[in-house]
Amino acid sequence: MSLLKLATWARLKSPWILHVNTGACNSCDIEVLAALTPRFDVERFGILLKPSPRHADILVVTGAVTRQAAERIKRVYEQTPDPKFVIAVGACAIGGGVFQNCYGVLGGVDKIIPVDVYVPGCPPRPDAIIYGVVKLIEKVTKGG
Amino acid sequence: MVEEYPKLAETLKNELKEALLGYEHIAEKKAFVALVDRGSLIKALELLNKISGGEVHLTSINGADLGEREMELTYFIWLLPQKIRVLVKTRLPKDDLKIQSAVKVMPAAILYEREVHEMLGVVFEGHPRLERLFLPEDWPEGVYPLRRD
Amino acid sequence: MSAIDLIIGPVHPALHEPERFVFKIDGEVVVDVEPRIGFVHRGIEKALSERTFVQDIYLAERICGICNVVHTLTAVQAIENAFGIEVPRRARYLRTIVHELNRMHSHLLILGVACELMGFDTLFMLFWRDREVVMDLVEIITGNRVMSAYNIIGGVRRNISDFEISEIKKALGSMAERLKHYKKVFMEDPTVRARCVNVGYLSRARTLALGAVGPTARGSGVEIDVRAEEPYAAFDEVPYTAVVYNEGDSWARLMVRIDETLESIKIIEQCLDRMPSGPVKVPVPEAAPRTAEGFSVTEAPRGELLHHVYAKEGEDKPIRYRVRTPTYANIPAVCEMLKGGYIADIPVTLVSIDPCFSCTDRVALVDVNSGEKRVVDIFTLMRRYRK
Repeated sequence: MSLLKLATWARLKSPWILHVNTGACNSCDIEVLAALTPRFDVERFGILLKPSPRHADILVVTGAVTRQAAERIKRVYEQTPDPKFVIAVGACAIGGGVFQNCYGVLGGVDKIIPVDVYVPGCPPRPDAIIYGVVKLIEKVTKGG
Repeated sequence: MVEEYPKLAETLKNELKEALLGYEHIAEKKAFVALVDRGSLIKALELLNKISGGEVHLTSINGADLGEREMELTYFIWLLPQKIRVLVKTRLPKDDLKIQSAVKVMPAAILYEREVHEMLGVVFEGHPRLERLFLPEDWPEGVYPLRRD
Repeated sequence: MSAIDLIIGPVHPALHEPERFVFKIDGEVVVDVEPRIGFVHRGIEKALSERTFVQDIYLAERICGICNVVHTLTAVQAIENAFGIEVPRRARYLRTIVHELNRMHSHLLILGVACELMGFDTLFMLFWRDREVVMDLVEIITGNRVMSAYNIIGGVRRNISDFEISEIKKALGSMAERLKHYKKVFMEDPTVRARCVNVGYLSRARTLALGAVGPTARGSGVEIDVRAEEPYAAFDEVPYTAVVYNEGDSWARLMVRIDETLESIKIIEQCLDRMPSGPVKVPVPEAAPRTAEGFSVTEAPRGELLHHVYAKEGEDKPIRYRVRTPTYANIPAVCEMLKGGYIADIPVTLVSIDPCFSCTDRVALVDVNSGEKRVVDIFTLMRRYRK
């Protein structure tokens, strides 16, 4: 049912996504990428993975924020034009995950930039990530 | 191969003499472990190079602060022709954490020595570039994350 | 010669991992390479000694999401080595099956990424579609696609039924046919050959001396593969012969992985056919039963992986835990592969060693003379050089 909602919304606008890894183990990243591949295929809804913040509507962020990555994620956020939204994918992006209290790690993404949707999991399945995007779109269309 | 262990033990005993502080073949660990005096560590590595005809693989150099007066370094080595896993260990007193760099004998040591230096404060004399590898630039000097003190 | 510092990010361009190599270039040629890793340094080794042995399995799993299975395998084997625990035969076979499935998904991932990089989008999608089949098989056995903590100290968490065994065999059979076809395409396609052959060459002697491991080493004729040399899990009963190519270039390194994926299917089939009966785990103490050192060396998808642990009797946490990952061992070799090559060859060479850190997806061009810094994203740079 959520796929139908997504298709409806997509007729109005195709969100372009920038995937940002702030210091992850890669498991969330490969599930994000798997969402693009034939089994899940979000491209049919016009959702495209873009390489540059200038073209992005949604920032999909994975990883526990390391000290080095914090500056970078802030810069990427500033470079992304409004309106912009942030989805934190995975336990690390939400609150540091298993790396909480490690000396290299600051914590979740919302310590650095505002987050609109949290997708829990370690890692969340591609289905869950897509559902997170749907949730964001619902939130946005309701809010206007 | 287990059959090669006695020959390896012989060679090390003959060449290193008192610098070879102890050795054993640990079947359960499938490894030949030798403890050498730190001044002869390089000589031991050169020997392994010779025994294997240069067909030697340096897997890793591990440093460990076990909470004692000394720090332990373990060189994990694989001899290709003999198919023996060798662990060469040496101990460094904590108030004098210095040892000769192995880079000339085994070039693969280049990053492992940097890491042991960065994490535990061991100085590898003769290393071409003993700088930070993993820690961020703003990490304070003299603070070694894997030291117990 | 005026050199420009080209700080390049991506190692998995499609995965946008953040890392940094500083390249000194002269025109279009790379003159020197310096690795400046550490963007994903998370202080894991310290964390491992602050958590219990059991918690360490979950932490080790997350050192790398792609090769998570091999990290848990190596961790439990190192701890078992320290504790002096013998694992039942059936568990060793199950561990081997999941270990090889993990290798398959990892190889298919990087092969797909390599194709995407060379503009071969169709083959990228095909590799990743077959990768989904592998993910399904992993889920059937372990209960999860990615993080499953299937390996536990003393064995594995779950058993497998005869029905599941037959399903897995069916899936693998049809996959083998498709993979052989992709291999043919990969070997003969002129674009692939133009982008990979003779790119990032390193001689056998240098590859061995610099400590390279895995397909990176085996692509240059170095015959080291832990499964063949120091068998673990079920490899003492299901013997393995290493896949070696002698060309020493990026093409060879990628070919090693294609062949290994096909070999993995054979290993899994043999393990399924010869699966011993019996328990899948034995009880283990929470705290170390003796003061001892333990280590385990395994062949991760990217190469030789080492977990080294010091345990003290009565303590439920390790005194010291050291992990040496294969990509780390390959860095000196890849730096040398890049020297003397063209900027255009950088992405292919990096991908051919299948690096596993995190890295940025942007490139910073620093003009050494004026000190001016320009930031260009890596995809723009790649597109400029895509033939």
